[in-house]
Amino acid sequence: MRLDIVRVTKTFRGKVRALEEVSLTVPGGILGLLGANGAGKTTLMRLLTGLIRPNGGQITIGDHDMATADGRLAVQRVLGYLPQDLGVYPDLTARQFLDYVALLKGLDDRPYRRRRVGELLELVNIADAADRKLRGYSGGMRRRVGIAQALLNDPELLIVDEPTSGLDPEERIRFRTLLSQLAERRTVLLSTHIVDDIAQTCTELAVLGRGRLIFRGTVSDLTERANGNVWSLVGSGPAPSVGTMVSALPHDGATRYRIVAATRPSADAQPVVPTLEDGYVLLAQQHSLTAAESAA
Amino acid sequence: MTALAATARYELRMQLRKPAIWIATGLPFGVYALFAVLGSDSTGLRRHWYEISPKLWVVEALGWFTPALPMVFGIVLADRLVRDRKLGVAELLDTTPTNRGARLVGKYLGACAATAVPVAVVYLAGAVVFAVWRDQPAALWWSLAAFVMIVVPLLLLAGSLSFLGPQLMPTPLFRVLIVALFFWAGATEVESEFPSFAGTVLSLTMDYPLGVFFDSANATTGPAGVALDFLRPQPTTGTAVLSLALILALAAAILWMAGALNARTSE
Amino acid sequence: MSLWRHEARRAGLGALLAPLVAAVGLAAVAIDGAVRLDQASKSTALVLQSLLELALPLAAGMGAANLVGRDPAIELQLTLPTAYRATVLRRLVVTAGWVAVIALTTAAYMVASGWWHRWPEAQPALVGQLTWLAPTLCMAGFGLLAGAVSGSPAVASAVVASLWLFEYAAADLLQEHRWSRLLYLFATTRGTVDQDWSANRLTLIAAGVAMTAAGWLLLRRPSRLLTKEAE
Repeated sequence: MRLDIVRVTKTFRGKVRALEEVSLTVPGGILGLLGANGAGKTTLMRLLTGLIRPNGGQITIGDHDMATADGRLAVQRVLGYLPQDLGVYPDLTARQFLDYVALLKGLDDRPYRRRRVGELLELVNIADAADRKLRGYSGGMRRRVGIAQALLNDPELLIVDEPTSGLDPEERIRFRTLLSQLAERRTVLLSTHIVDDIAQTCTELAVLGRGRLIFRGTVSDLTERANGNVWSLVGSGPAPSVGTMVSALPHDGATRYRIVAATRPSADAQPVVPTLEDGYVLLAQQHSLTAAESAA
Repeated sequence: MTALAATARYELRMQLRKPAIWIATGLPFGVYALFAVLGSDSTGLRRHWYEISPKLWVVEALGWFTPALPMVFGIVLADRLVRDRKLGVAELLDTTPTNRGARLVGKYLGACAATAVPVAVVYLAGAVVFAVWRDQPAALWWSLAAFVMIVVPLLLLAGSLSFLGPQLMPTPLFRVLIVALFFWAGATEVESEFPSFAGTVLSLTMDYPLGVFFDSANATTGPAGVALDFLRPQPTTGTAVLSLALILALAAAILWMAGALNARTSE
Repeated sequence: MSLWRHEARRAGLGALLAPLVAAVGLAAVAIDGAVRLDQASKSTALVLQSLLELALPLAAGMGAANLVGRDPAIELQLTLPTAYRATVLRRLVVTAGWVAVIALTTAAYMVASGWWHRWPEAQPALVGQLTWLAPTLCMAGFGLLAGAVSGSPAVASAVVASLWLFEYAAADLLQEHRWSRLLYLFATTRGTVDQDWSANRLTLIAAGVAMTAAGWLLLRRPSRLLTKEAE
């Protein structure tokens, strides 16, 4: 399912420009959407799911124009959405909650619905706790319920916003694998500020910064950009002030720093092979995004 | 600043900033006031506008407001305490080195104060208009006195109920029950067949203070020859003060229960 | 059918219990009156009719006021192909429908036990069901509209309760003009002008439908609902 986002702008309360002239095309497969908190990722997700309307620009999903009510309805029928803050009904069990959402998604056939709910409970690994009330669920378990509900109607378009938050490492890996598999037959939009999630699941990504699209390309492209701009140095005393420090690890009584900088931060700094995170940090530097807005 | 004062101040600021508080409390009373004044000559306050004494005017104005006040207070305050738990704020605040009881009282006082402000504004605005128009500054003092002696205790009682009730039952059910409670308190009369605290020192319509301090004709006090007459002593300054004290004590007791239940639930 | 069961659950325990509590209160009054068994029964019969006309519509109005602004899964709901206002309407039907079931049961008991006609000014048993039906529909519509406008159950409940109490307390005031008589909620037990009764009941029903429609229209734009705080 193809996504065409053309010069979309969204302003809240006349003042806050959440998105500014964003244009993006997603022909299919899985696209990672990266950006700091407040960059506009969630706003973009909400525009694509029909929750809010843009102030300017156009969004077409498949053959459907999101500016019309019919278009939005047609998309919602084939949509699976996992919001960043998924609220659930605490008095329902996971099974009941999925049953309810399935009904609202139009899965009227009872035997089929039951089967589907059962399959998904197994898939996300909460079958054992399926008949416990959601109020007793941990954050990670709720997230898994959220993933399950998004898949109920076998969606053509899957939009997941911060899907792995609260998941333990094992679950995170499971989920990434699942997403990659799902992307074979559908369009998946993965929005996150966790760089590693994108590095492990996507080949294509887009980066938002302060409401603008600041990068669209492949993961390797963005990583390559940081070639020659990532340094390792060992030192004791205060951290170097050049560039952005990406990590600081204890090393033989001193500290090994990893720094992203356009120029060599000090004489003894050694260039190292960049990762996607380094590429993102460099991009953020180049677009003058402050340290407080850098990705995790 | 102590935990109590800090919590109270924060709660007050937080609530006053919400349009919902102003609309939910200010709007009905603004409308009531409008009806009371514009209402036709046979029923409105305008009837006595030029003859009535300031004290009596205050009592009549109160008569329009007070039945609904505790209901609306209770409804608006109903979710204050349980919300902290739902939002997860409670868990965080419980790890701070503050006295949980102090925080509860602070929250209670702040929330009650915030809910009282819109009503106070409408009420005292009306008093100002009357005082200026009729050149009766005494009306302002009477209004203030009535607000403190009649409205505030009812608010405190409704507030404490709204801290306890939603912990025991779903909030929507509590809201209906608090309407029923104050309706029952206001609508039943001493002579009626149905048991009530009407005309007693425990009256939720503040009969004793109204009768003794404000000479209200509607306040029924004194023995009536029906059940619970031991709660209907002769109306004197002493018994009026007793009535006030009992209502405040009841509010405190209910608040204590709310705190105890809240603490138990958190553990 | 399953979806209705789910929506009944979403309407909340409060919506289930409130009319039941009203009915229990009514039963208590009836029992108390029966125990006394004298001329007080005429006033007891009036009280029973009043409770039907006052308590059940209040429960309906407060239940309806609680339908918007309390949904923790609102963001998800608004992206589903089932329109959220259809979901809210289902919950309204369940809420008002349950009040109707309680009311009918209570009224049936009153007719069967003779309490209905013990009040001399009571309407005939069949048409007399409008005693509770008209104000219930009106209050339910008003509650929904208040909820849709404010997005807050606290505000909507406060407004519903205020209106209810105002109509109770200002009975005399509201009898003076034809238009306020036609819209008077408690015309059966607290109204004074008899020949307007049918017109009054029909006007209330029409008002209830109109307010429900207005609420329906207001709930069309989902982004409004997102910005309200969930309670």
